[in-house]
Amino acid sequence: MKQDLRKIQLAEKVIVELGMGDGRVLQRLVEEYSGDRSVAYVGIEKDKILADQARMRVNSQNVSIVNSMFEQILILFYDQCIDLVVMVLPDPDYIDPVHHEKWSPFYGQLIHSKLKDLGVLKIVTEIIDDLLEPVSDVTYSTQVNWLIDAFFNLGFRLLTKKDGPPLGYTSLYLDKFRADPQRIRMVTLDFVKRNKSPLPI
Amino acid sequence: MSSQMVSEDQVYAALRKCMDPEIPVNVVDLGLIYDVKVKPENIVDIKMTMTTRGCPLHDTLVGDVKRYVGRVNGVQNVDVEIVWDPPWDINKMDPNVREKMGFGKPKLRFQVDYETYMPAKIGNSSSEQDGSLILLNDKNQGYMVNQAIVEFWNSCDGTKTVNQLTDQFASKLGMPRQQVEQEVVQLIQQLLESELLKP
Repeated sequence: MKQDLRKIQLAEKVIVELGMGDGRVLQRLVEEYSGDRSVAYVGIEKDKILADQARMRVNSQNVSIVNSMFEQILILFYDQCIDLVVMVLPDPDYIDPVHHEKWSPFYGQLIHSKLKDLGVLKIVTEIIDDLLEPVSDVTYSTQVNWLIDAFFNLGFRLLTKKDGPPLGYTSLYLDKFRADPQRIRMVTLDFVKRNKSPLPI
Repeated sequence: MSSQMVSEDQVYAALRKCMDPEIPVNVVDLGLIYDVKVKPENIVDIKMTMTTRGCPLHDTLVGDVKRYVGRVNGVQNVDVEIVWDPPWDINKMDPNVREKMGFGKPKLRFQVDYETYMPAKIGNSSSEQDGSLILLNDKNQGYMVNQAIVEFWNSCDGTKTVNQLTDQFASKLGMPRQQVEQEVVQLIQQLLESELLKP
């Protein structure tokens, strides 16, 4: 694996999806670059069955599917070698305000250090009401703004915010959530890595 | 003191040296500079924005802009006005920088004219037992898709241009046109690649 990763990191562009499920989003990412060989893709999934499904789905030389916990793999990457990290509907342990203390180092240290300058972290996440009532505009914007602030403090500046998931993205849970748009609203946030300590001029 | 009129190009050249303190991109390529005017007596008026309201680097950035432009030979004074209309978005960035960040326009294998090309679907759609949706081309190659894509594909009936499809889709989703345009074009490219639309 380590050797594979070295090869991957020599690619002109490196795209990593964390928790890729059965690989549908990864397949879409590969299609977006129309088979550009200078791009290396890594999909990481801890569930073996899903990882095997992803292997069947996205079978290309410049795609590596890894069946493992993503923290254990990310740490093997050189610093500043990833262009884009994608997380679609991360587990609440990695996004919920309640678990903020727990997940902060993961983004603020691990992902931040592995992204190149100008590297982008793309997160698609769901916004739900605590009582599972329809999500009001106020609840939605409060939670989204909280995420933007939290990620800013972890070293990421918001580049784009889009209501809902990217149109072409599909996965088991994305499609389930799309079917309940009142109670489960989704947002796509693209953050660019920022220098945490601005340089004095 | 120089009596020569300072040019806007000189001002832009100076601004290109002024980097965002957090992102290694200068303020011009980042799309923060909306307008530059050099008034008589070489007083420079700059209209600029920030990527977000309440940007903590507001003062630093304004100070840097004044400092860099103030160094241009002949400049007497620099006034910087921060404006929020239109709000900054990623499309204001230099395309090369956007491309570097992975937000560039997709590489197009099929060149389509947004005003004249009227996508027409080919193939069939089907729903699997597990609820997943498949689009099948005439070679019987299947592509797993979501409901939104099936609906879009169905709307490609050969009577609407790409621009009209984009308008229709934006209105259906209740989203601004510019937010869906790139996705619609990508989707059309992918459907063409998958032989699910007539080229």
